[in-house]
Amino acid sequence: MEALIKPELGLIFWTVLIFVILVFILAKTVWKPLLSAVEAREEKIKADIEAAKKARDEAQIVKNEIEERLKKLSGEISEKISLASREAALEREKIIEKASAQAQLMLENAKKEIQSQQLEVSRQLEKKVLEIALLASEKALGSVIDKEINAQLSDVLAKEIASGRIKKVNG
Amino acid sequence: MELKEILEHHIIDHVYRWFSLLGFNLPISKHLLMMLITAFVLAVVFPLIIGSRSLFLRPFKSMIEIILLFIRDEIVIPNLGEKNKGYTPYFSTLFFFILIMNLLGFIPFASTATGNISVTLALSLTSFILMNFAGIKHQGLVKYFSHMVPSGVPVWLYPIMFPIEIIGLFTKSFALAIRLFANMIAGHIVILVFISFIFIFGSINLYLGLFVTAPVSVLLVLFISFLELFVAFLQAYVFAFLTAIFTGAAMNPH
Repeated sequence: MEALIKPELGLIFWTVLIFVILVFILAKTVWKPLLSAVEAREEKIKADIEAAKKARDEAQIVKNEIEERLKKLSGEISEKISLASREAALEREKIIEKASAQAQLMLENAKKEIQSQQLEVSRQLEKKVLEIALLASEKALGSVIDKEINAQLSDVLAKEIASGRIKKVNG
Repeated sequence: MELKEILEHHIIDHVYRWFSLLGFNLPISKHLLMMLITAFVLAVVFPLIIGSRSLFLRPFKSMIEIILLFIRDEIVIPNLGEKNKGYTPYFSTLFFFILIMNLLGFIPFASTATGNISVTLALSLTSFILMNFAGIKHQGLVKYFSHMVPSGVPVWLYPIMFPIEIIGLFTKSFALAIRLFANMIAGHIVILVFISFIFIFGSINLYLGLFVTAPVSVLLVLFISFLELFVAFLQAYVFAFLTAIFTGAAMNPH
């Protein structure tokens, strides 16, 4: 059984030799290509992740910008709308004011017209009354008074009527 | 036939012939043959698998790659540090060399070269050289030996601690050799014993051996074989891992 635990120098030599040669051969033929392939892949994955992160950040920036611009734009729009409505209200008030002023003016004109027509009517009435009165008085007096005196008299009478004294005379 | 003869036949190396080189007697033996087969697999089959674009070989390439990455990320970098990952080829060679020698033992008529104390001693010798080489290379010769005793130890303990640490260097490597050797041989011995049970009980009573002991023994042998398969991977990992720990400790003293 001692053969089991008795080291054999020759085999130790073979093992070391084979192992050392293997280390040098495999390092070149197996591990180097495998490791470089793996490292290249890891590098690529890292670069891809980096690129994706960068793209995401950029997209975020663009999105923020757009949102900000949208916010600004909507603010501007609402401002403009309020300005327009304010202006519209002002315009409306102006129009109403103008219209009411015009209406007032028309009313006044109409009133004036009515007044002047009233005056005219009253004047004509006065004239008529005067003529009638004259006629009546002529008839009453007969043809005593000549035409000259008649004219003088009618003039005086007209003046008196104009000054409003006729009512006393008549009344 | 005695159990001793059976064990010797199955476990101990068979020397086919001796040949002499510069006064050394070098054996041409079965374990050497196994080692050469391993070397052939590693140096010829592995590059073929790696270099092939065949779809059939791609899973094998992935398996090698996964193990290689495991060795780099779990064995080399945690123990030796990120900047020393150039040692990865050494550790992956060590791992695959031991693993394939372990696995060859499962093939009928082949044998386990790592179940030979000479082979494991040789491997631990390379680990011993690596440890000291890496320590001296990274710290310098004087610093390497002066840092051998852990810092914080009282000065009067130095005369005791220094020899202990020097002996520790050798025992660490020797333990590596014994651990691998014993683990690989233990499973074989247990399997041989279980199979011998069939014949021992058979010689007492033929039917007892044939119908009772044989099924039980075969089941147990199957179980031990799976255990050995696991141990084959585990011990290859343990050897590489411990070598990495010792090398890392020699490189970066605390």
